[in-house]
Amino acid sequence: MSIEKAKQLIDGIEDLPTLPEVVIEITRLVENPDTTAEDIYKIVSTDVSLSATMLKLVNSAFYGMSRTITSLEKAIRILGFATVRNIALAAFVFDAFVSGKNAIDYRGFWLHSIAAASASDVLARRMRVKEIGEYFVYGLLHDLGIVVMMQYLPDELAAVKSRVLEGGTLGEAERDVIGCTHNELGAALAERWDFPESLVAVIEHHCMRELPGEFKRETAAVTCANAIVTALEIGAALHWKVNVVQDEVWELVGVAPDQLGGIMDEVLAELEHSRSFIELLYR
Amino acid sequence: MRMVDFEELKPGLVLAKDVEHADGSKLLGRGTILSPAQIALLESWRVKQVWIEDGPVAEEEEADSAETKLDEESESPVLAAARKRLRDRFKDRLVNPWMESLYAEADKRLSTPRYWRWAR
Repeated sequence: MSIEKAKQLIDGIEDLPTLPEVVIEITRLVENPDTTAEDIYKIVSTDVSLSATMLKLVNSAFYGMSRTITSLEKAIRILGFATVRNIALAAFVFDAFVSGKNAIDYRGFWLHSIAAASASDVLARRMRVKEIGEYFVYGLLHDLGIVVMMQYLPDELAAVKSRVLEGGTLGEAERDVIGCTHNELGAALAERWDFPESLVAVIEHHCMRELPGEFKRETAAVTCANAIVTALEIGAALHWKVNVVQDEVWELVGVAPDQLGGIMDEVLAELEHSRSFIELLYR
Repeated sequence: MRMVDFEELKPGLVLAKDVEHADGSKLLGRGTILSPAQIALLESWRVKQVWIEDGPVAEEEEADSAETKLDEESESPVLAAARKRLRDRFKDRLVNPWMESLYAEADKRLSTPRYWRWAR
């Protein structure tokens, strides 16, 4: 199994960043149904930079508040617990891999990720999902495996890229060169970091032919989002071709073919807001 | 020849120099009689100023015919290249109505400013 190979590769990375205590604690709290906003506030407020991010986020165009929110506790209530956790995870991944390091190489990649996040968010709204912010982060981090490749396997990544340009499929190229796919690599890392199961499932199964047993809707939304942003050529994904998305995946997301044009326009409009979302994370 | 701000452009003006993209590729050639569609494209490419030939504005008729010619053959090389990349991205992928619609809708958006704000 190449998920085993992915785990070996992740275990072999010596300077792999470790999840900060505050993120671990937030994750633990969010999983506990008895947790209150005050509990989460107590933890988040111990991290000045994370607190500032939450406040900036809730006051960004993305949430469209009519007046400025200055209380962290209120911000946490507005964002929702799962979103607070996901923001903490995303901020950690950004801190660990993006800030300061080869930011230019990462630009096209993160633009793809932001676009996929915006598209996931647009689809989540149509699906009437309760916590919209969750889907945004599924889209944002779905290609975590590519971050691993950029950071730790640059030569292999270059070899994969050239094979794909010559016409190979991405999955085959990754298996030949690395022994596992970026889906598997990302899932192995997400598991190692104890990311929520839903996020691990999306990372492992996005853009695959088969949906996973659990978290089908989440995975379907990110798969469709990927196809939409690749069609529009926003950012740079490794797979420069559009992935074929099967009828049943579109149907699960509840999108009819004649709605896709309108959805594209929503995604392009939302990208304007999302960009400020990402700038917040570059602290 | 004079430098004209984007806001001052109107159909029928004649380009005195090639208009280039930030990456150096040619968008519209010297001698082009600007049509409304081409002016919209210049906006989407965020061109601020262009060189225009001195002399009167070309006849409305010419400008109109210039617009109707803005098809695959006469469209700018950048747009044509984007259209080709789009075709390539969807090669062998038009397997269901959703994929067909994605392709058609992305193609429609190729000449809109929003598309070019994010495109590479």
